[in-house]
Amino acid sequence: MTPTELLNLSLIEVAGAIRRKKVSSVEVTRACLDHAARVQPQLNCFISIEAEEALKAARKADQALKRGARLGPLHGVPLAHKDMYYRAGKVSTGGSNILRDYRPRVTATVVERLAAAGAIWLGGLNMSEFAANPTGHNDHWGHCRNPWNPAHMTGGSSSGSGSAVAARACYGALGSDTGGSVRLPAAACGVVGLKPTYGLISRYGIMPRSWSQDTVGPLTRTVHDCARLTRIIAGADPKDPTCVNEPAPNYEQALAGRVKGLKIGVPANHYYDGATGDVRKRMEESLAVFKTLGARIIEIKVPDPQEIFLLSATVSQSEAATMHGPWIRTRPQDYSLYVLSRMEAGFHIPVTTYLQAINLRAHLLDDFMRQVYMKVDLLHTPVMVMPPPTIAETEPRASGDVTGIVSRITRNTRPTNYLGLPALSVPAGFSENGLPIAFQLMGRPFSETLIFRAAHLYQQETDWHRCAPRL
Amino acid sequence: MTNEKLTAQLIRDHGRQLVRLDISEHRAGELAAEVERLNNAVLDAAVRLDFNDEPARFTALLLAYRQANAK
Repeated sequence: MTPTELLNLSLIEVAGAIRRKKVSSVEVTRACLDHAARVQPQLNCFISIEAEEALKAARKADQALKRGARLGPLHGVPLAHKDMYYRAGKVSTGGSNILRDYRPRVTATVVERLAAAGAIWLGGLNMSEFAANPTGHNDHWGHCRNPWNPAHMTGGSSSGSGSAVAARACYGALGSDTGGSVRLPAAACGVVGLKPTYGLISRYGIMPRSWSQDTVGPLTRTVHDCARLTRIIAGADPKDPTCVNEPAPNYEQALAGRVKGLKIGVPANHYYDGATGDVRKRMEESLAVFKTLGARIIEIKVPDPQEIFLLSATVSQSEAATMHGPWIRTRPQDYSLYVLSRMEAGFHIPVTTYLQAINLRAHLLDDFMRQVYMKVDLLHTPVMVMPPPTIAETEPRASGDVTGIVSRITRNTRPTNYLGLPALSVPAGFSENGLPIAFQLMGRPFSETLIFRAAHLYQQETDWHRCAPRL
Repeated sequence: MTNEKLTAQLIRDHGRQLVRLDISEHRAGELAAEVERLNNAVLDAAVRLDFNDEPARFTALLLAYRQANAK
């Protein structure tokens, strides 16, 4: 296989090829490293590339295969992750200046699980500073760029994860999603991204953004790849008390089901406000695919997402101000103005208001379940109402309207975090100017199995996930 | 009762006196508008709260729905 053919394999395909000895982990890892080095000047998707360590691990993986050792489901597969997943003693920057040399003392549970499954760590991926903006701008490490058109934003905050996976520089990546930070870069870069149910995946050993809404999620090229990574990293973790105390289901096995008779809701309010013509068209086309698969499409009015959006922002601003307070007081010059502006209001929100916003979650979740998920099984909406804008258009200093920019980009993703519900971003085609457009499937708590199945069947009928950017 | 408009001066005083932050007048004006918007959204929604509510109810509810899904 040529390096290009190798890089175009999915995670599932490359894991199978390594296992069957069609290709070695060293060949695959070298192909990724060479390609990463080639695209990095254009895309700036990596903060660090650990070439020597990765090749050493790949050689070890090949030796294990040769001697017939027991193999994990990611044996020898190169991955890279948002630079906020801790490994004891290794630098983890959080995309910030403040943590530029930070070496945590612990290793994230999800990193341990991926390593135990045989994955190779290629490097740390670019991200928005402290995971605090949805565009991918980063004043300290440079803006990450969209592989479909480097003048356009990647989405954030898991900007490097979306860019590197789409660019074929790695087979999958972890991101994190507090208000859309996995789904937005997945959508803008044309890959799959999961925001899991709150409590499904351990957050131990990851940099926090908003304790009550943070989730860990994989970005991959196919739904099947995403199901595999989720199967490996999900499930009980005594180190994270918010994590459910049960093993994760086998999401890959569940892909084999059908969706005949499934009720898919399309919101009549909020989610299409301001949607461009090409976004509407791609949404209609994707719904038509679900219809041919036997699903029923039902228009539905959802509880006011704008109210949920504001409650979510109250929680995240309060929690971010709490955790960043000591640094904001002592070294404010080390934060970009954009990021400071996303935390400062939190200092002035009364603690009673914060706690009310926290206690309202159960009520709003109950309302949402009764008004939506008693009537439909899944909700289908655009991830963003417009194709990814340019980096210049979303530069906060250019417009001065940080809140406006953030609100327009995250209006369809943030409510899900407040409600703790799962959502999967799935590529649905391209805009008139050749940029990716995506829909998200949202479901009931812990319904990832159903979401994966529906999205996987969609990908069996379409080939948007096979499209690769020319770099 | 409707609350009075939150002022930049209040934000500046709060910053100095309670959270040890010196905030420019211009920024305090922007923050006043943002804090007012967020605070009012929560206060308006808070009519739904019950005396016995507590933060852990949310995660318990997610799990309850999980069990309901499984049936």
